Amino acid sequence: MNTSSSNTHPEYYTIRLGGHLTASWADWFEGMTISETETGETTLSGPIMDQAMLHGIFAKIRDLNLTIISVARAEDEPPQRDSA
Amino acid sequence: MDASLLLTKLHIPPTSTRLVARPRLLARLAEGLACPLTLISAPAGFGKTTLLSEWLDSLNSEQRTVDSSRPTFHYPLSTLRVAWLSLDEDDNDPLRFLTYLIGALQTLTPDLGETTLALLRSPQPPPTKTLLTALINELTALASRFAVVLDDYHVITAPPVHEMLSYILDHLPSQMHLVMLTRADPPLPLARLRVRNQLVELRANDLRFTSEEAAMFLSDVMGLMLSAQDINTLERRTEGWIAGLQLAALSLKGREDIPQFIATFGGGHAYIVDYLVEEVLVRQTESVRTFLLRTSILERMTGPLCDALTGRTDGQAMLEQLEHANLFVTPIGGERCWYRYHHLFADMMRNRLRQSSTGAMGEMLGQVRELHRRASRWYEQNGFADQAIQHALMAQDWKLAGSLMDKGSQSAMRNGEIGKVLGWVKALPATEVVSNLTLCINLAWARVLTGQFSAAEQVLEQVQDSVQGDAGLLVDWLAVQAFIARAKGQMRQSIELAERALAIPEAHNVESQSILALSLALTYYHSGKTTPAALVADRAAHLAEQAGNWHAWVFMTALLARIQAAQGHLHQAEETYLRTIKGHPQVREWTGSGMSQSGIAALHYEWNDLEYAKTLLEEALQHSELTGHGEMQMSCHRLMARILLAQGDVQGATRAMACAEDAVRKHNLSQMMRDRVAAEHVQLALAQGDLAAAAQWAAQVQGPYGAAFHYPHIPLEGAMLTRARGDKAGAAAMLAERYEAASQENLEYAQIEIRIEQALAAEDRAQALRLLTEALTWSQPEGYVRLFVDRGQPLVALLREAVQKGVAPEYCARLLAAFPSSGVHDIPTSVPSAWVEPLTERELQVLRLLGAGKSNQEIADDLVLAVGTVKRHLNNIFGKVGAQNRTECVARSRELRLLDS
Repeated sequence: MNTSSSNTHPEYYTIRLGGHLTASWADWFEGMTISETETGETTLSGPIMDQAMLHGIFAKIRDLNLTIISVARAEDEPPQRDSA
Repeated sequence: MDASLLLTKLHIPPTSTRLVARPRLLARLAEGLACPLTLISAPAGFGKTTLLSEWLDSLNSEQRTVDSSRPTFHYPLSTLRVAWLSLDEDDNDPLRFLTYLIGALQTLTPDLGETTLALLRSPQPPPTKTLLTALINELTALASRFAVVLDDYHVITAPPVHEMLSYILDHLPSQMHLVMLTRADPPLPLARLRVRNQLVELRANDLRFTSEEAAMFLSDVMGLMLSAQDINTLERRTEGWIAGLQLAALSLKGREDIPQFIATFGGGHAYIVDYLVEEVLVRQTESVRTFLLRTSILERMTGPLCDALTGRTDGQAMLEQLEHANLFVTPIGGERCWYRYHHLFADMMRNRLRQSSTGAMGEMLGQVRELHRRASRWYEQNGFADQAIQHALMAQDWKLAGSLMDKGSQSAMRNGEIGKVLGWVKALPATEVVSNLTLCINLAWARVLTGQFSAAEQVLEQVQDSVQGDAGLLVDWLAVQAFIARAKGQMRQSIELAERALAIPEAHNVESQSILALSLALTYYHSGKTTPAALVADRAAHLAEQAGNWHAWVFMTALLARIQAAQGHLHQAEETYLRTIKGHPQVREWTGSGMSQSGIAALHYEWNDLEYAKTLLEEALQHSELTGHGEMQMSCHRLMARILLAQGDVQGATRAMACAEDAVRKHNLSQMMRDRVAAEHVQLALAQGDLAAAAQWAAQVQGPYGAAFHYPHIPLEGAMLTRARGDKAGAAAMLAERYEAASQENLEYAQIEIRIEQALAAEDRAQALRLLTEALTWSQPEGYVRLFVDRGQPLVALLREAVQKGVAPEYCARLLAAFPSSGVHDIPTSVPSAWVEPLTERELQVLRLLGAGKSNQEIADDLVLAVGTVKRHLNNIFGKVGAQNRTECVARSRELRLLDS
């Protein structure tokens, strides 16, 4: 696990949430990409600067009463997807 | 924090009259009273707070008295009293958290925790555990049961506060019950509590509405006529989530197309809150919508503040209207002055607000910024400095934020809110920081107090030129520099800077100068420069009085008294000490001073008022245990040992010295403190005639130390041991040198002591008598007694002679009467001189092996020596340590710290 405090490049995380968030929430989640799955779930994905930022996002998710289904970290930047 | 805002934190949220009865949950809460902790952990909108206030209400069903001037309900019939504390992010500062916790507890008993509060506010608060122990002791003394509710605990993220809670839970008095409401499980040992059945939990699944409850809510509380199927759909879709049902109900009120709404709602995947809030908003008037949007940026709202943001005058009316319509607004103060939005709703609105100002990225937040700016201005005009700064930062108006921080930094530092100041600066761009000089100085202080010396010097350097033009600021600037210099051990530079600052006329900055003078007095004192130390201490006390800094006043006056005692003005010293104990006419509460009490005790010891000295010392000890002041504890135990020995209680004296050593260990005191204890051991050993032990202890004193080492005494152990070895000439030489050193700083106390020792080391009788006469004449006015008596039997003969020769006959008679008849104080005059030496390296090796239980043969083998040699070494060791056999030797060596216990 990368514990260095100076990240020269961010990690890419994908968070799956229950329910459907509109793209208007992207700004609230610090510029992450919001996309909808066919099963009516939402994916939040994007670069995360460090763990503290990730926990900040978790707190926001918690405060909006959204359900976290999964959290995954990608090795490289995923190919650009269209936002729904 | 402003008093009215504080009250909102302690206010128990009111219950609504329109509620669904939830007897099963209330029963669980009642069960929970038997455990230490009730935890209600669920996301927002599950009705945690509502449930709890409903429960508190039900605890007192008859004749409830609502006293609207105080944020608490009185329960004349119930035996459970409840204190409430709503937490916010600022409570992550442990000292602030504790302050508000005590504030909440004071709604139960007005004076509760006053001692702890006083300690909290002192310049160097004792460690947290000490504070908590003091508080918990007070709670344990409360007669009836009580509960403390902590609301919104999830905002707490700082480990020190979690540790405090952990500690409180571990030591919870049996009458106390803790309730925590949170959106996330706190990092406390919950598993342990669960296993021991010491925890009652209510979680999301417990708090969800059951089908029956949902039905009751929709029909009875919200007044909707819905079919069973519709109710079912709504319940299924919201999964019993109360806030969701509430929103759904609000969306349905007065609507005609109910079936259509339910169909869409029931089948959709959209984020419920978003969808429903939109539905609710759409049905409000434009006026209401604008109001909601604009005020959503606020944490707390009050009529006039809302008006500042909307530019209208109907703020108060709007808030009351919203509350009445059950539209997400809750009152948070007794008098319907302050309100806040329900969290979820506020987040929705804020998100909308961000989006509503469409356009290029640059203009995106313009409207929001303006709102924050207006809020900041209102808060500032109404005296809420913290909130004003928060909003200025959110407005990203750095100039505004900088100037507000500049104004607020002084009082923040005075209140000890160091973390706050450091946090502010982090949020501000560097260029803005530098242009606010007061902020910079306080930032430098904050950094110094958290040990970040180079960062402090950095900011001082940046403003070096700018401060020259402002005398008040210059004083502060020099003060920080002086402090840093002293911390780095650059004494001369520190003194120079301090003197420069003190030379600036007083009118400009009395506060800083008082702290500066205090620092300078200590610098002089620790450098052994007694006379300047006394002058500056006096000035410092005077400045402190002008600045209203009472802690500094007590400290400096006590220091002055100590120096007066050292310079031989015993009675004057007592008077000075008494001033600090009586308190100052301008100060209402007085916590007293351990330093003064122990100082007076030392004086009365000298005057041979042993019982009185003991009483005072016991008080000083209590005080030092409360403040957690390790050095004071050690000093008190040392003096106690002397008093007890003087009373003939050898065991008691030994115990007291053990306590002194405990204090050194527990508080991890410096080498100098350890050496003071060792030096005391030497004195006590000599007084008991245990020369060997005295020698061993003396060998452990590192040093050398100057006059400040043993106030008001001066280190004479070396000379005393030399005399005991029979080397009078050697002793006399050492004493002459010590006398020189003492007289340079007018340390009369020490000078008299040295004269007496010199009398004992004199070559002939005539010289001895001459020296003693000088000492007697000198000491009579101030009534010294123990300086003579502690010298032991050898002085008796000399004193008798003095009486015969007519030297101060009454005084001598008094002194002679004070000598014990049993001869406890006795320095033997014939002891093999070789034994009054420290152990050699080889002897130490042998001793360690002896301590490990090895036989002579084993020791010989280990060290490659002949057995005979080992025996010879052991013989020497026994003599030096003062033992007759191996067992005694090991025991004594442990006592003398030559072996580890």
